[in-house]
Amino acid sequence: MAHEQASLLLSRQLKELNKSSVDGFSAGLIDDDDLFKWETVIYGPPETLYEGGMFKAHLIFPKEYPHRPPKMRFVSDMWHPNIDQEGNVCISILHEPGDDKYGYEKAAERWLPVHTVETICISVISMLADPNDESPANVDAAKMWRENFEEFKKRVTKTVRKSVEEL
Amino acid sequence: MAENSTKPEKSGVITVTVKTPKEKHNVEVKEGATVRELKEEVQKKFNAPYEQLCIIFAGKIVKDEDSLEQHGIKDGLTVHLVIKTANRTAPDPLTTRLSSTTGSAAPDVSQTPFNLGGIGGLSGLSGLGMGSSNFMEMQQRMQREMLNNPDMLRQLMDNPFVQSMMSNPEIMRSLLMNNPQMRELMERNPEITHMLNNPELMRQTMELARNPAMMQELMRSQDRAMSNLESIPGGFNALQRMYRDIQEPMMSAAQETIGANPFASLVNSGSTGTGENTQQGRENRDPLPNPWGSPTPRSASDTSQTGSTEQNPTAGMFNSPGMQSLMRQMMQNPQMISNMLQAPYMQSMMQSLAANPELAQQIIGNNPLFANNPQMQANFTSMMPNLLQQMQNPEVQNMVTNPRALEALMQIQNGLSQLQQESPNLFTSMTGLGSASPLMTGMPTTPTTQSSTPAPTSGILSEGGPLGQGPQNNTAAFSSMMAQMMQMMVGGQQNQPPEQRYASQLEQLATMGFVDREANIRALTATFGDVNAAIDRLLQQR
Repeated sequence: MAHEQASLLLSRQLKELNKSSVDGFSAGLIDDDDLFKWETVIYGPPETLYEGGMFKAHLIFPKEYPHRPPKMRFVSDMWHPNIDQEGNVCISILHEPGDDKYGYEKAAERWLPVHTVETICISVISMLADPNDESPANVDAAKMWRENFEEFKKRVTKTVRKSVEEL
Repeated sequence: MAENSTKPEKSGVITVTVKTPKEKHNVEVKEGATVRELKEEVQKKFNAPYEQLCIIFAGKIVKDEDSLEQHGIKDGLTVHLVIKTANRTAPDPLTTRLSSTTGSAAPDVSQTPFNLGGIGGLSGLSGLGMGSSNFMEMQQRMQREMLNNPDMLRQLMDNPFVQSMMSNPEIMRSLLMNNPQMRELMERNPEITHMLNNPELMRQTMELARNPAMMQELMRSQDRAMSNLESIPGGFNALQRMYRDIQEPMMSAAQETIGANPFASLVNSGSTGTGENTQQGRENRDPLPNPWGSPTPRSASDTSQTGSTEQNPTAGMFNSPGMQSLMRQMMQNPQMISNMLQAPYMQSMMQSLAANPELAQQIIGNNPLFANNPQMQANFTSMMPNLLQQMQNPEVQNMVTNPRALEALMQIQNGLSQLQQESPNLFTSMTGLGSASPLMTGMPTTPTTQSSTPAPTSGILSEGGPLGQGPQNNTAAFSSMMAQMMQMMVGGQQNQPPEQRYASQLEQLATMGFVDREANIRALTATFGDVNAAIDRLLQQR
């Protein structure tokens, strides 16, 4: 049942997104037969360091969706405090539901079954615009962001250029 | 923008909407065209060199040599266009703010399946009072006001009325479900239904809304989400309507009685009783008082209509379709009645009713239930003060909220009418006795051997007595009325088949993809209509 519910929700989202795409990202399936594997292109948000970038990311949903969160991984090179070296996105809404055992995040900030591909992408876009350096996934990037912003800027600009060249 | 919309549909030609963060054009290409051909068209429309164009569809960057069909790009669909910069130092094509395009894009029914989620639905709540025709402007103004004046927000949130309303997810949900537009919206977007049916989430949202600091934080970052919310065509209207039909009347009722209400100066159709609102019909340039605030220019015509036809704003409230459906729902839902009765604002409303018999009369006159039955209306009117007094009696409240007690009352009622038929004399003397006894005043502390349920009941039943009218006539009429009332209350619960009783819940389950109607009915029956519990049950059975 859970499986059917997930397929239902995901195919609905796919239809909606195809019909009227939302600004800021584009999303579709990697393989047309698998509703649980999505690929997205996230546009670097304007007026940020990431502006102009076209970042590819994969979104892998568990069978238990919407009760459990998907995993999101950037395929394009990224340099951001909340994206680890492998490209995995670390934001609270993608964390398993329930209270954080370390007490950093409240349940309300974590995964909720209302999230969709769209809300996730929008959250990621806002994460690009506004990094959270309290719980960095990429410590080096976070350190650079805090201590050597010029260097951070240069590094990000490089990834932006690279992401567009790869298109 | 819509270059093609005037042209008739030609066979073999498809129209694709091409969107950049800045602009949007419809582009026509022949069926079975390649991406290259599409790009050539795009090149003309967007005035950009071919090499810099990059078409993205469904998360994929489509290659020039591919055909559109290959990627499932069909007529009417939208693709994203990125115009790469030839030179990194040149001004970037993406310099416009992302959100600025949202306003210019034509609203689309399916544009935003569910953006509330991103902020836990808060935007929906704070949007309740937002009725400006220019939503964004209003929104920004509100945010500014809120941020400048945290006291206002806290005051609003500390208001007992708002709190009791918000702290009860059940009520909020019922209110939302009550609105046909909202329901439609929910049918279209199962995600919203999901949110509303998740009491935990609702509570969290309300918790958030009550915490000014957190609210402020969220308000700051919800610009984009709000603009998306606006693009749900029904969504905004539904929220606005809900506010107008339910929130506002409730508020004015509360205001009627709570003199020291911090809202008193803010809520419209003040206590002057003329129903005239000084702010009506003109743009509100004052600092926006509260998010549940005064009605909007758009709704002004409705409100003023109500205001002018009704002497008393509170009576007008009972005329509103929202209130009437609320009442209907109350009749069908004992749970809700109990919630309502326990809410402090409800009690103060009752007090005001008790203090103002005319008001009660007006309400009754306006109630469709009574409108068709002048006799019942007259009876009810004469008994209103007492009945209201009775309603405030905690025991009566308990009784009304207990279906089994209602059933028992019903039985007593039937017994009494039978008794009256069989031996009218005995009945009269008994009623007389009832009037004389302290029971009739509804004293909850009466030390009798009777169980607590019959005690207030007989109080109600013998109410006709002290009014100085023919006791028997009155009691008989009252009995029939009570019987009818009880039948409605109890009948709504027990006599309907589960399909009807749980029609809305069944619909919800169906929307969520639970297709086995029989199983759904069984689960709902077993869980007494609790959708969440029913889902758990259904999932476990699989």
